[in-house]
Amino acid sequence: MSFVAVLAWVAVLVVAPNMLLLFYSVLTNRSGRATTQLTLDNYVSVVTSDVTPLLLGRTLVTAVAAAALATVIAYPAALFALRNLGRHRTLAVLLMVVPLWISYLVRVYAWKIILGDSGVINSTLAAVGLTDEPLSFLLYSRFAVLITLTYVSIPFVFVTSYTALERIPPSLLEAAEDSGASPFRVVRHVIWPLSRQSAAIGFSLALLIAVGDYLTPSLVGGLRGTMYGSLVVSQFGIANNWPLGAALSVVLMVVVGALLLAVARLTRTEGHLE
Amino acid sequence: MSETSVVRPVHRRSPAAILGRGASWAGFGAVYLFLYAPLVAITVFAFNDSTIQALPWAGFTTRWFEAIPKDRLLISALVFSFTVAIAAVAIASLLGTWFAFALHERTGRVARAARGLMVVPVVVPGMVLGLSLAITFRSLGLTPGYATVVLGHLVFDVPVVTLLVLSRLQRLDPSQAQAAMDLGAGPWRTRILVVLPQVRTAILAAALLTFTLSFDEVIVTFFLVGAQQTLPIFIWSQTRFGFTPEINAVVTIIGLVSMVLIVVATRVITRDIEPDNYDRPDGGGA
Amino acid sequence: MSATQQRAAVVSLDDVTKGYPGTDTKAVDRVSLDIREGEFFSLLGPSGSGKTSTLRMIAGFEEPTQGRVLLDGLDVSGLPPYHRDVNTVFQNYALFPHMTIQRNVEFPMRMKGVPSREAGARSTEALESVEMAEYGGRLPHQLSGGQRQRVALARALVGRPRVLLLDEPLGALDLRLRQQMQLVLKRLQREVGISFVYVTHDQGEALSMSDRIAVMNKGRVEQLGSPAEIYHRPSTRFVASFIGRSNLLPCAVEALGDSSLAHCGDGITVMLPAGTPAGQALLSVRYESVALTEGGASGGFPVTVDEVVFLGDAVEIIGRTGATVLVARTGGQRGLRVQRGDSVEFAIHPTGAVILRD
Repeated sequence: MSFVAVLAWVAVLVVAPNMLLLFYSVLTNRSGRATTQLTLDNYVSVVTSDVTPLLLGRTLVTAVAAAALATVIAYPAALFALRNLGRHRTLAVLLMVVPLWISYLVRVYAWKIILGDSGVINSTLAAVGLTDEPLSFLLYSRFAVLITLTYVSIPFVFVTSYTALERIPPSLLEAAEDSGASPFRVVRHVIWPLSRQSAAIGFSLALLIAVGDYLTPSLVGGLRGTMYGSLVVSQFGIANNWPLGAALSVVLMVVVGALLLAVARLTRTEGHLE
Repeated sequence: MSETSVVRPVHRRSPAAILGRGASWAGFGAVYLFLYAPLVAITVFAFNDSTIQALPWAGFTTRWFEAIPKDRLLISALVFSFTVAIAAVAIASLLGTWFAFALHERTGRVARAARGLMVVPVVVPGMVLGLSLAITFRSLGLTPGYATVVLGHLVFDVPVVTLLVLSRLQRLDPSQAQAAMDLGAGPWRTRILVVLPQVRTAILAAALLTFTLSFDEVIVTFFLVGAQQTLPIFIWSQTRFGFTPEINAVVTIIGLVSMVLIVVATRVITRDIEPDNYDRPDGGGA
Repeated sequence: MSATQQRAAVVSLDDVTKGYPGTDTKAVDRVSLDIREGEFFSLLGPSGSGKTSTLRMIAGFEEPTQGRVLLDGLDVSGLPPYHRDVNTVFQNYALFPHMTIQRNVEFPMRMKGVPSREAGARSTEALESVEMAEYGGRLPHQLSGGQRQRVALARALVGRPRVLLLDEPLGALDLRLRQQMQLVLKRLQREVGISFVYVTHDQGEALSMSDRIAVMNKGRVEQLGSPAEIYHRPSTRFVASFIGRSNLLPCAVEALGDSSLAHCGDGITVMLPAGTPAGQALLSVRYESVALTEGGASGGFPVTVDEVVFLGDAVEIIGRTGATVLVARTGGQRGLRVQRGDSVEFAIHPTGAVILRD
């Protein structure tokens, strides 16, 4: 009985919505209503549009860059915390996840305060006398989107990396050092291979957040920082073209799925810790 | 270090090494600075005596805090968010735990597939999930409002609870349930008296997590909400035009409450008996 | 022994087989045996021999793929563990970590609906019988391994089951504590008079505590008998080599009227009782049944000493003659001056030699 309930849940709230999404993506939009005239026009217009492929490419590049940047920052930080902080390292982990409990929206908005023309950075630079005019590329730009997405991704990569690093028995590192490996080579040949799969999970999480984020581009991206997600939302809202929104969604899911599969393939490690 | 040296110096304190070490600490500190700067900025501007959130500092004030209770729209959004989150957490904890037990006791391809599919809504981009649910609910003839928002949140809250409780169940020693049955407890009494108490910290952690997920959710909610806004949607609609520091004040309060909650929860969870440290190998005297 | 033989069977396994999906080899292969009222019965075998699977089928955690399990003569197929009057002491004790010791021991009575006052009194009594009464208020993680072991025993016995199943209960304890617990177990079993079914891979435990032992290998019962029978009259090569230490010699048996004689090559001959079937056979000789003799004793044969192993309470002498290597075990009396390379004489004690069926 319990298992039937699970199956019913999955059928009604997971399978059915995705099937309906697929179904909607081949419907025809007539002034805001979806009609049951089947067509592939929505996909055709996604592919042939001037804007859509461009936005998709820009979104993927920005998301991969943010996820990579977050990994480059968070993975070494996790390693550092584990090896140098002794008893206080759990505090380091706790401090890393605390911001996750603060509203996502607010954390994104905070960057608007920091990066704005009269924001913290620009007014400090002006006060010190380094700049005469505000650096306008800081806000409403792809740069702002990149910084903010990196910012929200760091804790995820940190935590996944940290848990993997923590599981590596110290005796392995000692054995490597004992065999004459320098600290760098210990990381290169022992630590990284044993933890990169988890780092990749963190990277993938970051990528998912970045690709699917709508708040960041719309708050700090401005026109130059518009992303793919905004297109989907506008089909639901202003444009009121659900079938096109569904087609855009399906395309996004397929592309992201392929990307995540590639990440998983690239970082697979043979053998595993007990 | 030469091959022939017998005694390796434990700490080499060359200037370069000290510099490298200092740089590592500085870099590590910078990560946390990066992490907390925005939170500090929000809090600081909650006390700034200006509607424009920019430097220079216009003077200290608590008027943004005092304005909160008078803002009827904000309060009603806050209350609505609470009722949504509480309902979602209560239902998700029950359903999610129930599903975790069901999936734990069932093996095979169907169970694995069900578990995999269940998690899909958690990883799918928010606007995709939102649109697919909006289509589904429209097809079912549901009017956007409280029920659709709660149901929409359950779609990602339930799998989170299920996964957390399931992973706890899988780490639980199977002989615990066997011992209970062996001593005369039927399946339900085994679950309730023996298994459930040992996964309650996972349920508690999951409840806390889903509360923040639901309380904070914007984009899926945006697709499902009716006329009454949730707090994040209210804030979002304000931010598009640059909001007043009143929002900073609200967020500062919520942030503080969350911190207290985390600390209390961590205390409760770590204080609780974890069966993990139960099977310590020791054979002390009888 | 004769007393227990007449008692009724509490547990009967009737041609029980257990296979798992995905493998052809059977965990338990056509096992039939009876466990009698009030008996200390051991299932002894190496890991993977099917002894734990057998125990789990009696407890009801697993169902046989073929054959029947009977409790008190009734087929219990399909009967869940909570409806079987059988309790188990788990290898890792499986005490409930969120309940006090007292609550743990009361648990089976709560399940039976025994009134709480009576349940309290009986669990205190059970804890007293294992000398743990003063720990009732503690939580399991606050006890040592040996203490948890005692609590697990009290919890399994408090409901007075017909049979107590013990799955390597001493495996996690250190040697000294293990020996101490063996005595506790034996005493408890005598006091409560409940049949114990004890699973172990440790022959010492099985030999010292059991009334009867079933030696298992590859899912089958190799031999069933009293500890003395198992030890002194092993019936298969497996039993001879798994329990105690034996020399195995391929011999040709010759009938000689009132006795038999085994020719084991390299000039080794052993006298065997009359009626031993003639022909090729495998002879098992315990190390301690090979004696170091003075020159010229009857049946003695010369060997060259390959190695002398000092064991504290005994000395093992590994001797070689031709292609045959034999081990003799003698008391470690002082002054035994045998060295590697010496020529000495071994003799096989006639009562210590057993013909194995293979």
